Amino acid sequence: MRRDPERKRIFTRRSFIVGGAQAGLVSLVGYRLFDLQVLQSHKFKTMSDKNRISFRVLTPRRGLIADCFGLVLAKNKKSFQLNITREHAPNPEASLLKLKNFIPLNDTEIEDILDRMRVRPAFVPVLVKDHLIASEAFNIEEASFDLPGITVEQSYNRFYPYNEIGAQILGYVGSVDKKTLETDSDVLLEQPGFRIGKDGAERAYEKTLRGRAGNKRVEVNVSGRIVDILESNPAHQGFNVVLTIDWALQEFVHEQLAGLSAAAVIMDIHTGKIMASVSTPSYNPNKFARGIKHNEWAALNESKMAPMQNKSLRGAWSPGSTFKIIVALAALEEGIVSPKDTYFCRGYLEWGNNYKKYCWSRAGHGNVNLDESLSESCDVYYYEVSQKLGIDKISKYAKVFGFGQRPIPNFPGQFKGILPTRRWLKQRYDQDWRIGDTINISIGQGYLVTTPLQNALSFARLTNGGYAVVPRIIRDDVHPWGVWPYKDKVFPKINVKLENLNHVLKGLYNAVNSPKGTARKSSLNMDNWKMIGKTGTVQTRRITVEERARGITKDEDRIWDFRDHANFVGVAPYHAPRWVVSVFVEHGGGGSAVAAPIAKEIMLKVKEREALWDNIPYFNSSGVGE
Amino acid sequence: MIGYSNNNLPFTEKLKRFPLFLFLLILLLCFIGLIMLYSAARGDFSRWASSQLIFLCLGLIIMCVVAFMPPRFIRLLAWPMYITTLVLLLLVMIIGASGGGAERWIAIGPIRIQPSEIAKYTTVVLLAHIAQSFDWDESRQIKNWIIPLLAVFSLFFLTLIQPDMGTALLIAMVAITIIFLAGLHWWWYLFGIFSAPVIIMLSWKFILREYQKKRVETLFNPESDPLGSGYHIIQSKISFGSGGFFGKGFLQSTQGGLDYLPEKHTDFIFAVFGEEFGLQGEIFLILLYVLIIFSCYIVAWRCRHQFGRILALGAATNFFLYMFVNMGMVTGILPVVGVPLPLISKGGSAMVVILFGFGLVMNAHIHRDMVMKKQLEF
Repeated sequence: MRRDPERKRIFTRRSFIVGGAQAGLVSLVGYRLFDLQVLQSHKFKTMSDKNRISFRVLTPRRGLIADCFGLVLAKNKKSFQLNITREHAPNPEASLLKLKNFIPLNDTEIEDILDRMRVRPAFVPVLVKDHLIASEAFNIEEASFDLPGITVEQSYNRFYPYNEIGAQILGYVGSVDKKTLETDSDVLLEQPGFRIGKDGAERAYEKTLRGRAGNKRVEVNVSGRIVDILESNPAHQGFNVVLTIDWALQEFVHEQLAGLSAAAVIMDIHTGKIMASVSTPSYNPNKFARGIKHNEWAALNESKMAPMQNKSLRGAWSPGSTFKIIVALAALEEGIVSPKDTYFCRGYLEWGNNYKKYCWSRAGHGNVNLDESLSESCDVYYYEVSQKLGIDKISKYAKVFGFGQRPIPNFPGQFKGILPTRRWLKQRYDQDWRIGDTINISIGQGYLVTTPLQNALSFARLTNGGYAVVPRIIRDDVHPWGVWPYKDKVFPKINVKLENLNHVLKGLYNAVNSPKGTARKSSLNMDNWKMIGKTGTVQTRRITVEERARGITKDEDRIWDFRDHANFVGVAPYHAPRWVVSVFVEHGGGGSAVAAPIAKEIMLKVKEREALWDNIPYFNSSGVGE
Repeated sequence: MIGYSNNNLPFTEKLKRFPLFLFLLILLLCFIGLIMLYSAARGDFSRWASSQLIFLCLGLIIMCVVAFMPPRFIRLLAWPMYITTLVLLLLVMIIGASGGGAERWIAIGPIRIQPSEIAKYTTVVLLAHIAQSFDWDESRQIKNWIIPLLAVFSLFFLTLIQPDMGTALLIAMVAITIIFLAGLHWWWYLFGIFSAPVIIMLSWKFILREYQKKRVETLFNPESDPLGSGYHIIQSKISFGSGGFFGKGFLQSTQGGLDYLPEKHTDFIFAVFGEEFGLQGEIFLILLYVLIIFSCYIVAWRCRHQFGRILALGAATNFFLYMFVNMGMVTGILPVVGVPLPLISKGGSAMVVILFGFGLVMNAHIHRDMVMKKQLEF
């Protein structure tokens, strides 16, 4: 207590020092707050909005695909998918590892997801897993607080209820490839797990089926969960697409071709509507929707029977004798032969310097006129005629009747075929055209390559009165922005004389219906509903001397790869032609023995369903599947 | 007033001397605290605010009890309070070591006590008691301060290895400030500034054990925080910045409401306040704090005995350090060390001890004219 005033003086002085220091520190905080809230406020306001406002793309439901009766062939199955968004996952790896408690997820998958996250912007969700069952989705949703960045979304998966039936015509859906991402700027393609059409109708009408993205601006909390929707523009569902195909016929034909590597097309010769387009063997497109395994994909691609290819549109084979109708018509039109003119067939023809080519019948056909040349399929007749006609004329007529071009406009997976000309041979093989080349082509062999649909189309144009009908596989006019009923149009008339067409038709009639016709066994045996047509047997390889030595003299004794192709194109009914059927069996053997009987069964089925087809009322595609 | 001696101040006289203005300022601050807890819970009173209200009531009772206590009694309690705090801190260390984690509290029934919070005020009471026992010459000499310094250092050290660097440094700061105010010769401070690095290095090398070193190391290593302090600070700065001058409005905090802001009800509650009320609200809040601290200074200046002066400014320094360190860390000028915003952040221990501290200030005010002996008489 002694000198307490001194102590108080010191205390007070020092308290001012402490107080001054504290005041200084408070002003420092004050300046900092001023800096943050006034000087830098704008920047932080933006950052705050970036935090809380997220832009979500709404995925539309893919349009359905139906047959001509409205039967749904490709639909969407509800399922759940898991996404992860980087901006809401402070530690994505930890979130993914925790997911292991709920769903099977291996390390390579996690690695893959992390890789994909790295290349995408932070706000774009990346697919973790789809095809989740409801209970898994529910459990994960419940535990969402422990799984920052992971969101459960409802999604749809493409489902094809008829599995491998008509798989090639419907196509399948798969992940978006890099090339599409580069050329198509649609935001939907960026969405996790989004799938696009990869083949067939799915690919051809992709933009119609896909629909348009919607969007919403949402307020999200720190773990990415939506707490409020600020603005929402719903997605526009994809348009449904109705095919011209009758699925009952498609299934029937599929059964007829079961076990073969074969293709068949049935088409209306006046309207071009394809009623069935079958290719066997087939594959299950549902496997693609779920993500196909690598070995399954390899097996499908490496199979020599090419299950992935729609062989009715893409099967590239020489047609054989069905092509004779073009040569016959060209010869009549060009006045080179009249129906009554005959050529003598002694089983072969010799020309030039030691060239010799056999007729399929080594015994020869004797004197052959146009009618007999078609019904008995004499080769020598065409060897003779084609020499006078020349390759240029043959090519010209073949082109008019649909060869050498893709028949269905804007449909993927078609083969153009090869319609050889002098120029083509020069460019392709640097060879000059020789007589022998023309002779080969006259019977539909040699360089000529066509598809079953082209064969059908040539018969259609010939039997419908000479109109350049164009095949189609879809009922309506479809565009990315909508679907409108198709307006029937009159196809341009091909400049050929009706009487010449009738001469050829007569030959086709006899090929099936006369006792000497090559397809006589496949006659429908009905007086008022007769089929006409033409067989074709395509030699892939001559039976070699060595094979003969081993006792192989008949085609069917040889191994599959070496056998002949069987081809048949038929049109019915004869009195008022309406339907064309084209059947091609790869390495099947003879056209009359293998292809024609199948065509007969198909034609009987067509007759059975014809009345049903004529009575389908027009229905709006948007109502399909409801 | 001279007429009153040691123990004969009647209660009515004490009541007359009660610092009502300071009391009202404190109540206002506590009320703002409850409102902020209500807002941080997105308009839910029961989540945090209701339990905080219980601690507030408890703290106010303790504050009043302490305020009216005879100062002699507080001096009597100084060393027992110190021993109790030391035991509690040792208990935390033992529990923490056996539990394997870094824990700062001990549970007594449903209540969790943070002994490190108590240690801040134990330091004030102990040093005030000791300062009163020195006369002017004694308080100038370092040798008299060695024992109290060792006593405070043990509190500091036990808190540091919890590890709770923030609170430990606060204890050290408050002790240094009090001894400065008590009159230790200024050149010891000069000496301290230069010798501190040496002491730290020596203690690092010879005193600290490996696991303790590790705990201290994690404090300096930003990676030690699993969620990342950097993230906390960015979100906190966004809160302030997006609040702007006027703020987004009460209950309109998106940073806090959508959980972007971590610890929004404890250490980062000032960021929620800043986002909702903007700079204008903060200026008001800081002025409130400054006014409270300034009241403590007035109490200290008017007090006629060293004990009361040290109590008042010791408590004020603690209160200031709470406020400054918290505001400094949420605005990103100080590292994140886990210090609450006084009387606003959720947390019972801090609430109660801070109000206890104001009890000390009020005690000094009520008993400002008392003649106090150097040594305690029994």
